[in-house]
Amino acid sequence: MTEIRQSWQVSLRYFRVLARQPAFLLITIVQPLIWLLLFGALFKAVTQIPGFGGSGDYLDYLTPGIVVMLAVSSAGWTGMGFIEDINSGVMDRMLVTPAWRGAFNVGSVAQCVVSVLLQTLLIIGLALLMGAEVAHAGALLLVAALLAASFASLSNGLGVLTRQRESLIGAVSLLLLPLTFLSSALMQLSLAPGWIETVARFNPVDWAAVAARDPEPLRIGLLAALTVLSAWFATRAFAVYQRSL
Amino acid sequence: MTRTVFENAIEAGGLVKRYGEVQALDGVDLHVEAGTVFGLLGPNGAGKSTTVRILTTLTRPDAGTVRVAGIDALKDPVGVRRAIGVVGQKHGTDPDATGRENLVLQAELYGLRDRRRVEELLERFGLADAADRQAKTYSGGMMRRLDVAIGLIHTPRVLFLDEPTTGLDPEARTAMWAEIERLAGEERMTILLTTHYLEEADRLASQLAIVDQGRIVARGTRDELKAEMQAATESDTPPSLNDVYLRHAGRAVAA
Repeated sequence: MTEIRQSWQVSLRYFRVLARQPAFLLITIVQPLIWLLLFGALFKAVTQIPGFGGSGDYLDYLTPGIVVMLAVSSAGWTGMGFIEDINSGVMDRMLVTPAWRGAFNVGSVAQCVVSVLLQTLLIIGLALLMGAEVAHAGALLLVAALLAASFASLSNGLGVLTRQRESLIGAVSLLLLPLTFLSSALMQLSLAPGWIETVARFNPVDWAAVAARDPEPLRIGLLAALTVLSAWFATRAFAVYQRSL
Repeated sequence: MTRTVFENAIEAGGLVKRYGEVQALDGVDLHVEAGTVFGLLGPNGAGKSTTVRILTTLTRPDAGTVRVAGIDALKDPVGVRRAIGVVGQKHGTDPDATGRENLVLQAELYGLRDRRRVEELLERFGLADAADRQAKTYSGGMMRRLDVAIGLIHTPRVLFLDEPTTGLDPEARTAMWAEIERLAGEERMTILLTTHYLEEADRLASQLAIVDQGRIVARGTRDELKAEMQAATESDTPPSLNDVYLRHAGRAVAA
């Protein structure tokens, strides 16, 4: 109970930032729309490749892919907040309290998940307006939330361990594109080289992309497990950070 | 559990801390009597902040024992955290949150839901009018007062102030000194403060320790330290605290 309340109180910090910076809110809203329109136009012809399968409308295929891409790339930057807190002294002020360590991570992850869910709803809305069919909206939201939570925790943990903006920026930039393109977010993997299909099997972004189109318990379960594991990692990172102080 | 009476609010023995090749602490012993203001003096990099970080459970020593408010900080860090307040060297205030929001969050982190304490502290530190302004709009002195208010939210028994007046203008510094005296006097709080302002230590601290290169090189009351030096140097006039400090940590001051 106390843990939930503390997490909620910590998350208020981040929600306030979102509410007080209209520019940030605007970017959050506009970004998914640009992605959907841009990728939708660019890859329109891709469904005509023999063997792509599906009903033929790329937007039906693309919509879940855009959601997944967006979830992972929004979540990846979450750890920047912790680095700022470490540099400013806010982190130490929170760590000298008896509060549950997990609350610091959960509070920050909560904000990321809520933003991603809002963006997902926007994408679904726009896709429907553009005439796409969104077969599994519920699963899409669930998958987006799990993927965002996993990567937000991973980013938080990395942020606390490296304590340097440059390191986190480097890690996120390095991982983001390979994770996205070694998955079925934008492209049917049956059309990709065999090794990509093999690698994708171990890629959480692909688990999300597959499960968003065809909700299956295995991949959703894997994402849920990853969410728990990465939250544990982020919480443990505080202990490692404190040992280094 | 009974931990009502304790003679020493802080007891640390043989604290050692290494950062790779650097020996930050090399066997620090500290005893701070309950209800006193204890000044930890030393040049930058002497080990003051490392000592405070260990005493406040932010980090653990490589060797040594720590008891704060009668609780073993290595076995029960959460217990110590409940009993102590910490005002760090850096600002702990969230610049995007208002003064009130900063205090409310800190109260919640201690499991306190009563908002009256928040209002009381805003009032006492002269922040009531600015309570709903974002902290980043505060002056240096206001920010520091908010830091102290945050550290006091749960009425701690032992308060740690790591260079509380560094960067403050003379007026804000004098106000901070008055507040520290009030906390020690009226609220009978045990206070450990680190400083490199000798004037500050001379005015506030009844007990002093001088740290240099990770060791305590001198300790005692102000007068003991001065008398000891006067005897050692066979001088006719009593030395100032500055003389005492220069004698024990001279190299670092010259550097």
